[in-house]
Amino acid sequence: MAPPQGKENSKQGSLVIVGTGISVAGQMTLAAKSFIENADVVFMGIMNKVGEHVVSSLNPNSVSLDDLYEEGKSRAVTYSQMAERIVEAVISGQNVCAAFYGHPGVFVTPSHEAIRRVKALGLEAHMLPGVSAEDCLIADLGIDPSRFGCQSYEASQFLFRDYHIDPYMTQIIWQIGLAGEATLSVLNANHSQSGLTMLADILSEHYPDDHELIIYEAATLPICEPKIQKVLLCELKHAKPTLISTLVVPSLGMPAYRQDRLAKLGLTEQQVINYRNPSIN
Amino acid sequence: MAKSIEDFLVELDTNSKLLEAYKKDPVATAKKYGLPDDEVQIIADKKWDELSKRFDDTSKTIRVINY
Repeated sequence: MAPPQGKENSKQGSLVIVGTGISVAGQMTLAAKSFIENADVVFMGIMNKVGEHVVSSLNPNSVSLDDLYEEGKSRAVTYSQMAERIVEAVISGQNVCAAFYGHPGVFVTPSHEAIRRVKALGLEAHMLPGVSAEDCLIADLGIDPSRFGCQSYEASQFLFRDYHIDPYMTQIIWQIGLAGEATLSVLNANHSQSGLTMLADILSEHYPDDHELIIYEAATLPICEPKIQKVLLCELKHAKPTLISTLVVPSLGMPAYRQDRLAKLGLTEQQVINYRNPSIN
Repeated sequence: MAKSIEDFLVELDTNSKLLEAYKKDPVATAKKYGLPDDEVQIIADKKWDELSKRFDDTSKTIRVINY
């Protein structure tokens, strides 16, 4: 059936935001691949030329957002412009896909902002999950975030605000290469020393100086291994992180049982220990 | 015709058999795939930092403001 007169001009745009994973191709979901293939235009925030090559092969009408980054320019402006570019394409009536490396909703300001703006216009927008750096970290380091519980946060945000560390939980501290950097205008990790020193001092309030930490970088290329550097807490202030370095602070162990809560639930410590012992059950 | 190292990396990342072959013998696998000699040499010399610099632009990895 022929489309109604004027249908072409009244076509409503839509937005889907997908993640391409941390590695160049293998972590892209089948659904993400399909949305990339079928979009009118794909905007890429991928930071890896092989990953861009993969997306461009799936859809030749792919455009990088990386030109919006500039040394000395506030990333607040960059991210706003990224969202603006995506939203403008939706408003023009195109089915838009924005592909970000990793998980498109984890540590990504412009993706959430674009979805918010498109929905505010009454147009369709949604996000698909992807494989994040945290997922790679869990796999590479063998850390189950449920084992001790986990606190996961961005380094500068933690330094600037009144957060509290629970040393019994695993700490995952992101973007330590920008720790304490407030101007948002640098694109390197050369300004993190004072922030890193402050972070080490805060951690020293909770952990012994010889507590072993991990500075981690996920592998983006299949022929490379993840970078896993072990450092003692007392050495942290001398570390040279990159922009993709993440600090992992292992837990001090399990906290004591709360006898008062167990009692209110009609339980004893020994009972709950026995319940999870496979040799007893 | 020689194939590109970009295609080789994509294939390694999506083809477990090729990856296993690569782990056993990286240079032979790269040659058999059809990489040109200069790119086989990068693999032979294990110049991973050179490869990362060639393909990754870490200055564009940060994409969030939370504070």
